Amino acid sequence: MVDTFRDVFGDPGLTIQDTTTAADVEAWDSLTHIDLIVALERRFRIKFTTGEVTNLRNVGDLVSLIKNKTR
Amino acid sequence: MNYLSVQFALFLTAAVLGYYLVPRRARPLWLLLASYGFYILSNPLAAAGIFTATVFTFWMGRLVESRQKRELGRNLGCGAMALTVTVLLAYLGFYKIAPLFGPVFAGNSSGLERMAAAATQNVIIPLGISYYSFKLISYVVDVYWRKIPAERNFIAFAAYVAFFPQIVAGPIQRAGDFLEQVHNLNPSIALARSGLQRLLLGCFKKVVVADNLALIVGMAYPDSFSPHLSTLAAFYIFPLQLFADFSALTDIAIGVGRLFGVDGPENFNEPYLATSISQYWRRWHMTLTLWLTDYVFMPLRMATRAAGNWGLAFSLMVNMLLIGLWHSVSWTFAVFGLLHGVFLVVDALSAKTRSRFFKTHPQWDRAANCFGPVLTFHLAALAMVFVRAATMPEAFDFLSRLNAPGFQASGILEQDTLRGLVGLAVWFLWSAIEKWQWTIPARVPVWGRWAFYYLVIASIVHYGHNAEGFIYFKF
Repeated sequence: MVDTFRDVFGDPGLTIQDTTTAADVEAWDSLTHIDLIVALERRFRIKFTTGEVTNLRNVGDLVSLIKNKTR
Repeated sequence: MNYLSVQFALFLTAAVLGYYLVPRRARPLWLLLASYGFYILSNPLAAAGIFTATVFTFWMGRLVESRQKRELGRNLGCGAMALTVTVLLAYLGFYKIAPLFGPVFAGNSSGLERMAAAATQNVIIPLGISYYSFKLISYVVDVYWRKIPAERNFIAFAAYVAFFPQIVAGPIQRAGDFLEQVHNLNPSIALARSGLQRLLLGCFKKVVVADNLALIVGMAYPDSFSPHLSTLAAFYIFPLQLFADFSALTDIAIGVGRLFGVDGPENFNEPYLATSISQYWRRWHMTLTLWLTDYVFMPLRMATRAAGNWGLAFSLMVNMLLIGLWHSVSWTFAVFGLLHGVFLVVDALSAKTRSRFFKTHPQWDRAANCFGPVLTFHLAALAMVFVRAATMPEAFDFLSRLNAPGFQASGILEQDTLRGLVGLAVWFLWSAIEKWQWTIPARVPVWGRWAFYYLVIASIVHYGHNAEGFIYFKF
């Protein structure tokens, strides 16, 4: 998952935690957020809904959502 | 009711006194009564519209939530949400579009069409419909997305929709943020004091800065004979006037809200220091941009994500066109939106290339940080020509005079313009002092603080030029 973040945001040294939010990553805005969602959908072979995508508060929420979908 | 009127000052004084005199439990009800009082005094015929829309959305919110909780009723929840959004959009769209049909019907001779012309020409747009309909839409979608629970207290919900400091021109506060505050109303002296400071700043920005600068802009726009330099001055000064005018409205809205213990969201964050057009939109009219991002751009972008960059470009163009048409359904605002759409598409599609280039060329990165705000300001100012011009020919006439060579000027060194520019400098200094946390109450002795406030009030009285209503009142 970290690799996907690094690839989407173009930062090979990026580190993320459960508490990381869009405000902590310079390139993470509403445009790149969808790039991230598409990359994660391909990586884990899942589909997100708009409601799920707009409800995320931090990386922890995203991890929980992916875990639920891949269970 | 104009915010800068004796009538509003008396209304506000009575509303604040009543708020602090009634028992704490009754304060939400007082807020609601004061908000409807303001609404009825300003636009009595439209009060039924806001009340009906509030009752409808309140019950639909409850229905959406109850269906969402049942596994088999989810489709019904989705349908109830979609129906609510459609009804609210039709209600907003009718008032935005109906006045356009008056002249169309008026040209026809049949009795039915003459009646239609009379009906559509006499449509009065309900006060604040652009703002409260957006509040209602986001509420029901947030309930559907389970971001917030459906509100149980009708008084608190109706106070949210009609909250009088925000009804005229926003900011568009989200239901979750507002209702949490209203359920725990506990206004502090510090919050009320900061509210009064914002109110004073708003009045100063409106009458000393915006309305003095409006004079030179007004000379250049409808006048086809305005000389080149005066037109050039208007090109640069209108963005400053609009920023002062609109952010003054936000200051007054936030300031008045704080007197009632409700903190509203900010609408501006130094937009003309933005280094790119995408950053500009994250700093200008922020509550509208965030609203459209959440409820238009994101659903559109999710639906078109398989289409890659084409989907991105389409979503951005639709989003920006809607921002333009939200202001007014007209060709000038459509062009304003589409221009920004094109700027944003270019910005988004070149973002990765620029980022890679600047990482390998740090010296150019520093240059871009200086050059970026200049370019962004010029792009924003160009699009604003279509905000200020009343018609497309007027906008093109203005742009052609901008290109015509010449050194003649008139009005640039008028006293009103200079007062406006000095006021602008005082406002920027005031903001810088607050930003650097040299907060006036904390560091300056009491006598110095009050001397400053009296100086601001005196400048409002002596140098103010309250000739025009707020630009954003009409949206």
